[in-house]
Amino acid sequence: MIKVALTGNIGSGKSTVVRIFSTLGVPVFYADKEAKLLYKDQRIKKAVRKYFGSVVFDRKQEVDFKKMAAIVFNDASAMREINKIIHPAVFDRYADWMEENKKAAYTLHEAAIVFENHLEDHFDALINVTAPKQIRMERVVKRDGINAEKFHARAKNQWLEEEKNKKSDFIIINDGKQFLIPQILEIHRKLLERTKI
Amino acid sequence: MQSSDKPYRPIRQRDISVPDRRIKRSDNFIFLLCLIIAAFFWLLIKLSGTYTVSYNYKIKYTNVPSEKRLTKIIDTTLNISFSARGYDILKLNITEDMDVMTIDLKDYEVRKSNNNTYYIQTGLIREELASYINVNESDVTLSKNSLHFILSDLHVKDVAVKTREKIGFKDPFDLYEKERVEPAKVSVYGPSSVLDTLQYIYTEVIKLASVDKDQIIKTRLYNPLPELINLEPDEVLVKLRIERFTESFVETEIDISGVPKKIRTFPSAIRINFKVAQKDFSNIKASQFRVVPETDNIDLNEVKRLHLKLIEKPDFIRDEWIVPADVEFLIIKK
Repeated sequence: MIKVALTGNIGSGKSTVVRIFSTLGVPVFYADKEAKLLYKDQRIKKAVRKYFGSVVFDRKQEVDFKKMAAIVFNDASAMREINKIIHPAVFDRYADWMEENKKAAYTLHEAAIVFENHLEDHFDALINVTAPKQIRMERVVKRDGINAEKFHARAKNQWLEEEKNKKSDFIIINDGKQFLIPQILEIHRKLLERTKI
Repeated sequence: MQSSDKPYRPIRQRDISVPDRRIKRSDNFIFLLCLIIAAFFWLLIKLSGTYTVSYNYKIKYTNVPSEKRLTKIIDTTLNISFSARGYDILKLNITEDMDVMTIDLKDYEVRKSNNNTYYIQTGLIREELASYINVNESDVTLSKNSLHFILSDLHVKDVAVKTREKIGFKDPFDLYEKERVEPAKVSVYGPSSVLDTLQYIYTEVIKLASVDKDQIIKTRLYNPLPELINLEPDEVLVKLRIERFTESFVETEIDISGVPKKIRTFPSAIRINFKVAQKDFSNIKASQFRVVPETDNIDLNEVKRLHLKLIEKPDFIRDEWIVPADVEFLIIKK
């Protein structure tokens, strides 16, 4: 079975791409969603509180992601620390999930940051979803109701598209002009061929 | 002694030329006066002569019978030739329009030729002209003995009024509902041939700028054929209801239940942007909207994207647009 990572910078349209793969019957591990769930885990909460203090917790003592984002997107060391806390736990979950889906020809691991955390070696193939920065910004501004400044603050922690493209096996251009499905069907076909080898 | 009282001064050329020039100017004046008098007498002699002239008039009618409308002039021109004294021809040229002859139908016996075709005899024209230029009627020659035209019976039809407007609104104000016209219909009097094709009567163009409150405008109606139809009334009231608007959006799933094949769209949910009056803002719910892919006359195996259309929406929103307007899709085979 091939382990495929699907990544893309903020606003690149990963979710839509993943839905198409999912429709094709490919099991998808949503790393970012899993990470959010893990923040409810007491061990993770304890580690977060140890580093950040109670400022990133809400009244119900749950991690407040808006407060957390305000810190980590503006502080590289805080970002590294949170990654150190959460990613091992996410990969534990991923390992369990892979066991459940071992019959699949290939699986997708969807995460916003793969290269940035040097996780690329964990996968057999890498797909990067790419779109021009202006389009990505427009999508995020509409989707999350944030301004351009906040978008840039989030985007600066991610690698440049060109660098990600160089290190990826497949690139999906999601600029709203090119058809997505034909690109995905082609990648799907190639991945299935690889599994037969 | 003489020489001692008046010192000698030589006579200069200028001193003697002044009276000469006066004499010369006086000669010119007399010559010009004589010329004018001669020309005047020449004109009097010429005007007393008899001349034969010919005029081509365009025909125009007034005072059409009240129960009828003039819909067509068959004999559009009338040529008149006559011999008259120069004085009378000059008088005629000065006092009368020599291009258009306006015929008052009240003064004529309007006779029916057939169906809607009517005519008048030109005898009265000859008679009046002969009298005016002091000649015998026999000296006036008309190109036609009768002038024909078409009169249609006057009918009435109630026609809806539509407004024409160029309104600029002050931001964020806009028209809340379709403008109301009072009365919504007006009576149009005219020949049935015209009324049959008349769908609407439009107002004159209403021009307003920086509108930020309700408006009641009294405006005249535009009569497209004033010579054929009458409007009653010819003025209406246009009422504009103005409200403060805001932009908003809802997100809703695309309804694919009516698609002939089982499909999945990407994305499955879309955003509908629109403008809504602030007073209606709280009444907006996503469930009031229904967006479906356009699949009529489309082979799903041949296309890669489906265009979306909004088929249900609240009445009080406007300027709506869907983002994205097209979606990709997969046909699900089971």
